[in-house]
Amino acid sequence: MFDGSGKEYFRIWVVHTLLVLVTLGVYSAWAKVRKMQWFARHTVILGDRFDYHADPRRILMGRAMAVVLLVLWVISFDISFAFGLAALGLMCVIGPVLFVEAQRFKLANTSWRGIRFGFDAPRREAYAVCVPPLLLWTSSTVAQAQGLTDGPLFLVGALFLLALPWAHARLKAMQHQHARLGSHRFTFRPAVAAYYGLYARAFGYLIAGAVCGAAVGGAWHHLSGPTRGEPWAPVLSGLITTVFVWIFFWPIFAAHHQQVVWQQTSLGEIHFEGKMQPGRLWRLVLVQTALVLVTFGLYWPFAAVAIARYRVESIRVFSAGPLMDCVFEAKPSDTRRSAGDASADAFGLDLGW
Amino acid sequence: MSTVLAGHRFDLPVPVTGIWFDGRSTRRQAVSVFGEGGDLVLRGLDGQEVCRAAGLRCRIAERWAGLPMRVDLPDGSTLVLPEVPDTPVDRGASGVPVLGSISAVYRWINAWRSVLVAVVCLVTLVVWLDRQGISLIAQHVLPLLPREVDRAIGNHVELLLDEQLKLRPTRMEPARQNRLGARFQAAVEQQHPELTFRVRFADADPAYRFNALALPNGSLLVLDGMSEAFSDDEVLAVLGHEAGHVVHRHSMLALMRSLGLIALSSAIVGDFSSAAASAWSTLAILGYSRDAEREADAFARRFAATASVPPQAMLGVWTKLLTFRKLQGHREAPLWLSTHPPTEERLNHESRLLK
Repeated sequence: MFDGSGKEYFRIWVVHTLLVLVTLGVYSAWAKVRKMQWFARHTVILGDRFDYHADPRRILMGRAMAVVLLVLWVISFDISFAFGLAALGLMCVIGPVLFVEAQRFKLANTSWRGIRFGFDAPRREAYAVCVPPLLLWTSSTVAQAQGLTDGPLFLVGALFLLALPWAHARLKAMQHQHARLGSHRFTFRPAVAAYYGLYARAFGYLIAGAVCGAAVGGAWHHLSGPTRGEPWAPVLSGLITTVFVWIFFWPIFAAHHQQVVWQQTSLGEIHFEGKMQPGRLWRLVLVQTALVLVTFGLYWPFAAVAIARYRVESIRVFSAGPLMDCVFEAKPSDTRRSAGDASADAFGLDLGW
Repeated sequence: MSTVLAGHRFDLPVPVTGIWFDGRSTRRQAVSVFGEGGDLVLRGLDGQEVCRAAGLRCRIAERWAGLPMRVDLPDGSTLVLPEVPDTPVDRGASGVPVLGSISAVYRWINAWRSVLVAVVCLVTLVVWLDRQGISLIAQHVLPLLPREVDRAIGNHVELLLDEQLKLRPTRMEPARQNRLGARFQAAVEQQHPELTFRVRFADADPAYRFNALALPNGSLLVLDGMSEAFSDDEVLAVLGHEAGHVVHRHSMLALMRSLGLIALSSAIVGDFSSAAASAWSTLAILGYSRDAEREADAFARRFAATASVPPQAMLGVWTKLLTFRKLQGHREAPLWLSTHPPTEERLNHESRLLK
């Protein structure tokens, strides 16, 4: 259950955004902590609330590093091909480490009934799982920089699409299998087939969305006279396509994905069920996005709360025995922590918003 | 019993009951909370003491409407007090001092008037940043970027360009090439001896022939479609305009502005809709390139004076550009989607300056 109110989050969000802009982003770490705490403390399971404990200074360090890496990546290929490859190599080496550390930081700083969550994927597995999608994701950039066109480029793209569900399934498996509450591991049943089904269905929706986008684009062309060949037409059609993909594709994909993920996850005797309805999520996202656009962004915090509420309330928790009896013990090393004492994290990485 | 909370005092009903999580398992334990001396003492339902902690080492977490009070004890356990009322009451009484986390920002967030002020400030700030702020910041950061970066990027792009535009050797006779090159170099050396320029003429596909480009490494490219239609003076005016882009480092500026804009739109709408954020930054970036074109036009006018190019030449450039566009049947892109100010606007601006 989620009982946060949009009005309250609006107040938090306004003050945070102003401070973040005025401090050129430095305050974003403290803003992140308060935001995570607010969302965590308003999420209730079995009558008790979550909590978030991160140290903002560590988050700030992590973000500074992320900015440096991002700038490097953006300009690397423009400087020279060799430089770009070096940047890619660097990403492959530290990327998985960053990802795992970010997961660990987020989970280790979240608690429920006084017990911290955790994440302890071994480095080896992190590399095995993270490097393939990273390579796939950047394959098209590299191919283009190499000057590949048409046939070979298409092959690269096709390979990327075919391997994507497999890579995604493995990523989610790693994320959930190595998560724990106290000393109890979550388990995640392998689901590669389910992921291929998920992506196939999503592809269907994507085609539908593209057809609609093309139809709207074509109608617009008709109404405003011939504009083919204009340099600005691609920009406009790009915008229209993005909006359609966003509205059609993402909510439906996300809802089905949520169902798959939670169905495969369990914690000891406790099982989960994802009951996100694609249609309901789609309508929710559509309405919230429209309201955000109409108010030039001021409605945003209300939208965030509405979506978070739906996300939380669409997860069901089941157990063989009575739920109140489920007790989880803390990991012995976690209990040495006291208020204000940071855990043994190397980086305080929290790369999301 | 009352507790001190960062200068505020609470009056608690005595005794207070709450739930205690010992931090070692998820078991809920009902406790009664007492203050003894400077300590918080927790007693179980059977009266046995389960925990004692110095009040000053306990911390009360930031509290939001409707949430129970949460106290973090120094041994890692957590105390949840659902019965403690939300609002602090100022009463004079002694009690257990406890550390609170009422920060200035927390106070600000919980005062509606201050939040309204914040909304107004936020909207104003975002609008200003979008219009001017980001350009200002980019301009101040630009000098930190050495010109070597411009050159490196320019060299790389030049190689790509040759392929993409399918460039062929120019059909312009060498005498004219040398003449134009010499006039240009002489003029630009007077104004900017520290920069190196390279004037190139080339032929390209009929679709792109009527064009001129400037690359950040100082290469200025005029394609045959333009050089055939323009007189020497007019070609020099165009070269001056393109040189303006290099002098003012517009490509680098554009790169920084786009980074800044992405950061701004992410800060506001970043959580879920990176698509919306990138759409907004795309549109705003186009606006900045229109400013760059106007700046380059201004540079071209100053250059024209140095290169003994009569001001009518600029007029000629815009007139011919307009004619060419009409012949091709091109329609001007709507202002919000175009990288250049509309040609007619540039033409009118030019003729007004001449008068």
